Amino acid sequence: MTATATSRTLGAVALAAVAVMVVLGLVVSPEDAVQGQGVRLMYLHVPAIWVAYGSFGLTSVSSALYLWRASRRTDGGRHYDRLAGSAAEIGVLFTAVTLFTGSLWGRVTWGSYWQWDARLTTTILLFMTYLGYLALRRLPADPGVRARRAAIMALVSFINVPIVHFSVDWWRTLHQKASLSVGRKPEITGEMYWTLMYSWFAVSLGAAWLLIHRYRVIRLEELSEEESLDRAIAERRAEASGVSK
Amino acid sequence: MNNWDTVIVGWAVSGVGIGVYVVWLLRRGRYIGNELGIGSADHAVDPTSEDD
Repeated sequence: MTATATSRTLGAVALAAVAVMVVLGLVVSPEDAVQGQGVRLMYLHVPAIWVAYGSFGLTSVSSALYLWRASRRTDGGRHYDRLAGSAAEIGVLFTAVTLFTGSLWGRVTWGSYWQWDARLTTTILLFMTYLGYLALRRLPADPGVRARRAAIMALVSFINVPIVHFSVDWWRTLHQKASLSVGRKPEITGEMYWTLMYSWFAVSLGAAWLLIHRYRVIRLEELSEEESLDRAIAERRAEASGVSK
Repeated sequence: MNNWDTVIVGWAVSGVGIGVYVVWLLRRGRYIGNELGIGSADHAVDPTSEDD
C-alpha cells in the first residue's frame, strides 16, 4: 500500500545492489594481512555508520526547516516532521548494525566485544539519544507541540554526530582512526577500497528505499489517527444528541 | 587468521535484522492502507502522495 512504480524499481535495484555487495564483501575482496577474514565486517560496519550519519543529518535539516518554515507551509510543516522522524528511525537501525558488527569486529581484533573508549561510548550515546528522540515522537500530545519538541531534540542530538566522528582524533582510543577521511590519503586501497565504496552505495540505496516507505507509513498513520478522531467525535456528537446506536 | 564464523554471524544477523524491519514496514503499510480503504474503489488515488 506504500509502494509506487518508482519505489518498486528502487527496491529492486537496491536488492540487486546489496546482493552484489555481499559477493564483493564476502568473496571477491581479499582477506587482510593482519585481521584476516575479520576485515569483511568493515564492508557492513563502515557504510552502516555513514548512512546513519546521513540519516541523522537529514533529521536535523528537516527539523530546522520545520522550526523555520512550518508556519509558512500549508501543511503546517508536517512534511518536514515526517521526513525527520523517518530518517531518525533509519539512522537508529543502521547505528544498531554499526554497534553489532563493531562489537564482533572488536572481538576479532581486540579480543573484547566492548571497551568504554571514546568512539564506542559516544556511539552508544548517539544510539540511546536517538532512541529517546523516537520515544519523544510517540508521546501523546498535540501534533504541532510534539513536532516542535521533537525538532528541538533532533537539533540538540545532532551535536553528538561530529563528536562520534572525530572522537578517534580528539582522544586516544582503542578504535582505529578513520580509514577514509576528506583531505587525507586513504588508509586502504585497491579491491578493499572499491568494495567499501560500492558497499556504501548499495547500503545508501537500501536506506533510501526504507526512507520512502517509512515516510509513507507515517503519513498513513496520521491519516488513520485523523480518521479515528473524526469517527470518535461523530460518535460523541451522536450520543449527545440522543441518536446514538 | 580465520574468523569466518564471526563474519558470517555479523552479516547474517544484520541482514535478518534489517529484513525484519522491512517486513514490519511493508505489513504495517498494508494494514493501515487496508484499514483506510486505500487502493479500493473508494480511494482510487493514494493519498500518501499528496500533502495536507
